[in-house]
Amino acid sequence: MRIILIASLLIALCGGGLYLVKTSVDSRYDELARLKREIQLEKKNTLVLEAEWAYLSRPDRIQTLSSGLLAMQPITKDRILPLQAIPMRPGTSISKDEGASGGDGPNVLEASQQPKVPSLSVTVPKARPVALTGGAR
Amino acid sequence: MPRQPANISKRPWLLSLIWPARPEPAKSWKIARGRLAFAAFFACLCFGGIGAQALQLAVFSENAKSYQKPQSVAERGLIVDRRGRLLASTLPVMVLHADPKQLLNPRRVANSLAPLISDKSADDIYKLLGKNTRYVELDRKITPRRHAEILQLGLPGVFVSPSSTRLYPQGQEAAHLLGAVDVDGKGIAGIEAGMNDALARGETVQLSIDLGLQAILRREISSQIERFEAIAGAGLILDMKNGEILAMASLPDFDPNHLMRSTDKARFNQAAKGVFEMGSIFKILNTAIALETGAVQIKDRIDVAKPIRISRFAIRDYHPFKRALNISEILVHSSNIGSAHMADKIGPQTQRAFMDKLQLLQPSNLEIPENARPLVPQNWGRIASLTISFGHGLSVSPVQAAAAISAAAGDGFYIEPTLIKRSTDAPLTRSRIFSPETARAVRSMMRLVVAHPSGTGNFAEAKGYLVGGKTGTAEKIKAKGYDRKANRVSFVGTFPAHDPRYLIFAMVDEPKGQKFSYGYATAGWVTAPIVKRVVEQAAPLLGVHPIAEMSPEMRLNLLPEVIIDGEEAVYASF
Repeated sequence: MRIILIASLLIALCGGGLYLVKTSVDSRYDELARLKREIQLEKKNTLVLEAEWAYLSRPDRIQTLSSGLLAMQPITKDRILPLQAIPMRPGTSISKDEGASGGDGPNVLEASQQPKVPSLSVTVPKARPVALTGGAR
Repeated sequence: MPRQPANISKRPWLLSLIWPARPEPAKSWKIARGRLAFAAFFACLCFGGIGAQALQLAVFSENAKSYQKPQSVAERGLIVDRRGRLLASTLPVMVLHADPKQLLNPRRVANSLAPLISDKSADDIYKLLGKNTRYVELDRKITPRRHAEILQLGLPGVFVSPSSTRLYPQGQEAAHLLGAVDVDGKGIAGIEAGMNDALARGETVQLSIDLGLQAILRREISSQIERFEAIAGAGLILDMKNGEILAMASLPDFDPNHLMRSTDKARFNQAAKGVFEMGSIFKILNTAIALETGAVQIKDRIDVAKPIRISRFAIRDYHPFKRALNISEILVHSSNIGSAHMADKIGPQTQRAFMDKLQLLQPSNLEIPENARPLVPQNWGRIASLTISFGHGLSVSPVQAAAAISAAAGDGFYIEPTLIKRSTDAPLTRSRIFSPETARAVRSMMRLVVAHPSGTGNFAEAKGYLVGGKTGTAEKIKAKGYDRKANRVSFVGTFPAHDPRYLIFAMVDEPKGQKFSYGYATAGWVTAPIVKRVVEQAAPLLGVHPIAEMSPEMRLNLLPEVIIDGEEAVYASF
């Protein structure tokens, strides 16, 4: 009699436990489905954005924009130099310069000393070595 | 039994509840029944409750599952260029459709939908809605805002359902290569058809094409077509070291997003599907074969004063020379007579064998359906062999010509061209056709075509990049034989000439002489400048450095002792 009682109690407990597990599994499935839907949606959004980016960055558009807004030209031969062609700065002066500017404290650059940036004229960048290996196949 | 009650009283109250002492037999029977009834009732309640709950859950979850539709089958894969830039993508769109049987008032529906559908008037829609069917498609691509507005109208019988469409964000760039898909999303041309299986599985296909180079090549060919009032053009850039096609253009072209608005002519991929008599650029192959077989030596001289007469044909030179030319001069001055004499020494059998090894006698093997079958002469006798030596009588596609010339002008290996990016660790199959010495001689001569003042390709000289090349001007075949006025001009260039890495091919169809070109519409005027401008713009992108004047490596890789017009040749003219 006691054994039956205990067994039935155990069964009831198991049933209750099973029920709890099942409901929690169900709610996790729901969560999973929701996340999957979300991922799907995000993927779709990414696709749309990627396509939009590709459309906006297509070469002929960039070409049109650049020829209208920037005075850029194909890099000519005389603008490309091997790294060795650039003379090194005299070795000692580098450390001295740095030491000097460091010692002068934070308020070195006063308004009068600040480089004047012309507001309207276009500053032409100086010819400088172009990294030839970066991005090259 | 006096001990019993004492025992009961001894036990603690809580323990007696869980583990009661044995009662009197008469009483215990009653208690047992009561307990049994209680236990049975409780068990029934529990199991009944759980069972009911389980049943309800099972039924309910069946329903719940039906809400989670299985996700749609794999979307068609992307096509990207070698740097991962998007060339073709599949986008979700909304399709607006209606069921005419469910409409209450078709006239009103048509009127209210008309302002929301861009390319149909109210009458068009009304006509569509009057059809005796259950499905009428009104618009394939509606924007989210339109979608919301249509939902706001709340028209019964009008539906919006999700679908997808193939999008080519780069428009006309690389249109022929990419091809197109039909309404069911199945590839019908280009890579879309050639790689349909992989794309249908949702895989991303990475091409060997570089979108930047593609844009440069297309723009330059297109501008030259305009300048010379030509009717068409084609071109490609080939990586000679591994056979990857970096750019491939055919003009006129079309927008694959609006395939139906294009003409058949625009949809034709001339670079891969068109076969042409390549003209003088075949002299590169002829020279290479002659040197390789030992039919001629580099210092041999051939008399080109007299035209060759063979049956009813006469082989003449565009610029006749009244003297003997050496092998380099024959290529630099593009002498048909000299080339024909060389072919005579090679012999038709050997020539055919080499053309076969260079894959010029069977269709190319690109990953697109548009692979042209070359036009090979039925009877490869002496006449055929003489004309083929200067590029007539054998019609091949530009892709085939480029791959063959890459073997002669590069390192002597034939490498099958491809449109799919090769992985760096995959072994490269290449077959040696020409010896390194032959290749060295050929690239030296090609450099002189561009660098020497009397060469035909001077306009291809992109200073610093050592372009080597060869012009080709072929008369087009019209109704009766060749048409002297209608030419197809081409140029094949390689750079840097001392160790060729990239090959550029450009072809323009029927250019007309212009004032600025003094009436000329030859390859030297029309196509050589294309190669120059492409090299100037592409070299920095490809990481090719400008070469120092007469650097040691250049001396090592080009022949020093070539004599042109009685003087030792100079490869660089900075």
